Parts: sequence; structure tokens; C-alpha cells
Amino acid sequence: MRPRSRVNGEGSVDPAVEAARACLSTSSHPVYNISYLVNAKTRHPSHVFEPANAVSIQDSLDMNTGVGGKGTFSFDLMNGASGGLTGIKVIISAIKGGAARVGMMIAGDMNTNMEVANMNMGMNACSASGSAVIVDISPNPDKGFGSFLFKTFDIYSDLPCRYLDVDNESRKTCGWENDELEEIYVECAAITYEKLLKKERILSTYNAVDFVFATQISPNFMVRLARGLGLPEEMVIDVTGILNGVTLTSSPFIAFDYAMRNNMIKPGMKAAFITVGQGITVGCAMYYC
Amino acid sequence: MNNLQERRRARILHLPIAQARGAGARKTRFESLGVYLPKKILTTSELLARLNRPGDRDLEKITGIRERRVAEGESASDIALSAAQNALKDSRYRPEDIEIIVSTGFPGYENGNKHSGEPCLSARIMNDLNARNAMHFDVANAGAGMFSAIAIVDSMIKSGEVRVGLVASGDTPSRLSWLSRRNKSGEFVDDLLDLTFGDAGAALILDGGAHRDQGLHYLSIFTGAKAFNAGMMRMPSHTALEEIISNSVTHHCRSYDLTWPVFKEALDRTEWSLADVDVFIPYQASRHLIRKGKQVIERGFNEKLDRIFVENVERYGHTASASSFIALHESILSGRIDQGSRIVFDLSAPGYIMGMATYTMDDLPVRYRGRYAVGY
Repeated sequence: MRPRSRVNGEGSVDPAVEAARACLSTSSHPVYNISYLVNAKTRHPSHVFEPANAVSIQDSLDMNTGVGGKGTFSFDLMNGASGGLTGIKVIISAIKGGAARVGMMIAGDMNTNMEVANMNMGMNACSASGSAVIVDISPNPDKGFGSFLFKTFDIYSDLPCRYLDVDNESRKTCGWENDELEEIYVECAAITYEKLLKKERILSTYNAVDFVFATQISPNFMVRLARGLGLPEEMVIDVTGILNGVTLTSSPFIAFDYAMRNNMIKPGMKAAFITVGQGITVGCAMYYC
Repeated sequence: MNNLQERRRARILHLPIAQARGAGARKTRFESLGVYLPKKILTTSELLARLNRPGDRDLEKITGIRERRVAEGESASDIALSAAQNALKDSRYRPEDIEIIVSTGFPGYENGNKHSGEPCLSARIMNDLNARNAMHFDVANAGAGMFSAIAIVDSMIKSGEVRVGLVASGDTPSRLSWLSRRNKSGEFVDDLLDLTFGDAGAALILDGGAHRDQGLHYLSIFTGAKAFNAGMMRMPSHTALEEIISNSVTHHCRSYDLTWPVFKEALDRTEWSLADVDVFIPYQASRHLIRKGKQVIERGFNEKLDRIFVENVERYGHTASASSFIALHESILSGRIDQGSRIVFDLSAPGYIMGMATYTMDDLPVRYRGRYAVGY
């Protein structure tokens, strides 16, 4: 897994491409090894819904384009803020199922009009960002991703949805109450995290992980999440200060990148990825460094 | 795969050896099929009359599309949900047995021009079906969306991660016919693609088939990622009427170059000859394009495909992602596809995306016709 970080730019495609290039630049895999490309996104840039944005990203990366190459299967995946983590899960399944050897998940979040969005949503304005992760088979069975768990709390399905009104180019939410919503996010994340630990046969939350890389919603949310998981605040990596707004599907990997760049991650450490978005859908995964 | 390879695969994938051995051999099957077609039928002449452009092109002759279904007051997820509910009616599985739901089709646009970013549409399907144990997400890959979703669930079943999955597609592209006929200058867009669409939904419940000689033998999808703006569509907004930037001719010319080799490889990998194939279901775009693809394959084999060829655009138009399964539905009901039938599916989409799938039917046709016989 080789995530790379946020880039500046508008539209979810450009940041995703830049992140993918950065990721490939340090990978042992040449671009033509990538046979499975998942583009996790939360909306259609410029309202283009056909073909998949993954196609133009694949073209920008010159990844097995044209006829007669090794071939890449690329598509867009949407699962709100859990899209990136879902994409990694899908790639791992493809590897286990024999459909791919090496896959790449790219995640892009966008906001075409930060001014309007900031006006409408305050802290919930989305920042343009991208991240990319190359997934292959770990040579060491004790390292790499462990279990994944995705849970949708349908009792909260009536809570606000985040939608884009094409007619006036603005994002809107209905009944959005940040404080209340963050509390619910934390509650759902804690339940799912506990189930993940059980799935991994980790009996105690104490020392269960060294770090948590979560959806970067707000500084307040990161603190709440740490408390909700029963962890010290410093174990939940907070990069909201450098992101200039919410990042959704790309954000846990930006936080992971931040930790790697700052030499916080050491071999043998355990990390949990936790994503929360509306639905309410929570994604959790364990990663052994 | 020899023993050494099996052991190595088991070790690196962290799987029990038996499961590693089974990966690639276990077949995914269509346990249940559901389709949903909106009730409203719109003929091509009615469509042209509503566009106030009657007679400028013989659209019916060019496309072979006499009529299509048009959703009225139904969104893409309504249609996908209805198809999923139909699939569940004849399934031996209950909603709570479903472990993964992948929704595809006309992605994200609900209730007019509102694009739902979060939650994804599959969350609604999960909630409305009460499939509370399922993980879920949406996939967008144009007309190849349904097969892309099948490929994802197929991998999960083969790897033993899930037993039962649901793939549901809801397409409402016909609305583009009304929204995108003029470009920013107010001129009519001289492209026929947006007039070919019909609305439809399809859903499949997938599981690991009991018989190794039945089910999904082969599914290959690759993305050429060239000419990706041929066939590009964007949702227009009424503040700036934007055209569908489509050049279906460019897209399909590129596809034709690949149709025969991709078809041939599918047969070779399944160890079938052309004579083994009972039914070929091409991607249903328009009669002209379907038949051009057919001719390319016929030239490659130096043999006519009439015996195995299925075409239904006349009645439903270009139903995008769901189109292959509307054709499957009709072929089963007509008795053309029966238990043991060997089927080749062709998939194609802008991007350009090409692929083929080979499939041998289990008893689904018998069960499916039985369901309709009792007044489904």
C-alpha cells in the first residue's frame, strides 16, 4: 500500500491523477502492471457521468491504453466517504478471486465552487484533494490489510443526505446539524470499530491499534472520535488543519501519508482505517504495518 | 494449478488450501433474475413529434427502434429497486441473506436534477429491501455497469468472501432526449444517440453455483481508455443547456476492431467452439450498430450468426446497462434460452470498454417461466 497525498486543484479527476502519479513514482510496480483501477468519487465532475471518470484517469496515466496491451479494468465506485476504503476492499477481492494481481484505488474529492459551498455549508465545504493506493499481494502474510467491515446504520437513513443541485451548481444538505451529526458518526464508528476488533480477535481496545486514520471531518470530530474509541487524541491522526475543509473519500489515506512522511509509522504497528459518511455508513479496516 | 502452486496461493492470499484450490474453479451463477420495465410506451414517431422535429430523419429506420419504455415519476433508484424486488420474489434467498449489494446504471441523479453524492443509491436499495447484513456501494461504468458489478461480486464469491450478492441496475436515460436537444447556441444537436434511449431496470442475485459446468465461465472487461470523450454524456442543467458530447460512430468503429478477437478469446478460454453457443446477446444499442458488430464476427468466423443472435432494440430501445438482461429475460420467457443453454454476452461502452462473458444456464429458465405462468 503506497498512499500519496493531497494536491491542489479543482475537480476530482485532476487531484486523483496527480495523486496516482505520485503513488506510481515510488511504487515497485510499473504502470502497466495495474490491471484493476477503481476510482472512488462522491460526484460526477462537470456532471459527466459517461464514460466513467476512471477512463480519463487511465488515459492520463497512460495505463494499458489502446488495444493489445495487458489490459486494465477500470470503473468508478461511489460509497460516500467510505468509497476509497470500499475500493481497496474490492481490489483485494479481485486479487483473491484471481481477477487481478495488482490494483490501484484512486480517490478524489472536489468542490467546483468553494465560495458557494462555504456559504452553504460552513466547515462542511469540501476541499479538492486526491489520494491513491496501489494494492498487491503482501509477501509477508503478517503484514498488510486484515479484516474489513462495512456497516450501514439504517436507523439513521432519514438523516440528511448530501446532494448537489445541478440547476444552481450548489451543494445542499437538508436538516444538517453538524454537532448532532458528528455525535452520531462517532457512535456508529465506535460500534463498528468494536466489531472489527472482534473480527480480528483482538479482545481489548487497549493497545489494539497504534493509529487511527479516519475521515477528516473537523478538528472537533477527530477529538470526539478518539474519545468515542477510547483512544488518546494523538492516536487519531488529525490533518484537518492542512486540508482547508472536509475531504471525504480521499481523507484517511491523506492522513496515512502524513503519518508516513513524518516517520510516525514503524514496522509492526497496527492501524485502523475508519470512514464515516451519510447513510449512515461506516467502513473499518485493520492494517498491519 | 499444481499442489505447489496451490500451497503458495493459499499462503500469499492467507486462504485455506481448499479455498485457494477452489478459487477460479467455483462458478458464480445467476440464482435469480428480475427486470422492471416502466409501463409508459413511447413510440419513435411520438418522440419526434414531442420534440417538434417530425420527419427530419427516419429515426426508426436508422436505429430499428420502434418504441421504448419511459419512466414517469420514477427515478433510477426506483427502477433498480423494483427490479431487485422482482429478483427476490423468485429467489431462495431472503433479503437478510444478501451480503453485498452493488447498484449501477444511471448514476446518482434523483428527483429531477439533484445529484445524490451521499449516501449512494445502493443504500436506499439496502434499506428498502431490508437487506440489513449487506455491504453496499454504487458502480458507474456506462453501459458496462451491470457487468462491472457482476465482475466485482464474482470475485468476492470466488474468493469465498461472500456467498450471496445482489446487482441492480436502474437506467433512466430517456430523459436526456428532452433535456439535451439543443446546445448552448440553441441549435439542435445533430446526434441520434440521445434519441435511442429507453428506461429499464434489471437485477441479479448471484451465488456460487452448485455445478461446475454451469454458471459464469468467463467474464473479461477491459478499458481501452482512448477516445473516451466519444460518447461522453453530461447532465444538462437548465441554466446552461449542454449537449451530450457524443460521437457514437467513433466509439463503435473502435469497438468493431475488437469485437471478433474478444469474442474468439471468450470462446477459447471457455473451450467452446462457435457451434457450442446457443445464444449470443450483443449489447443492445441500435439495430445498425448491433448488426455491424454481428457482421464483423461473422467475417471472423466465416459463418452466419443468425442461429444464435438476439436483438430486442425494436421494442425497448437502447436500455444501456440493463439491456443484456432485458434480452435475457425475453429469451427465457420465449423458451429460446433453457436449462443448459450456452450464452455469450457482449458488453460495450464508451471509454472504450469491451468485454465478453460466457455462461451456461442452470434451472433458472424453468423457475423463471414458472413464476410468470402463475401470474407474476
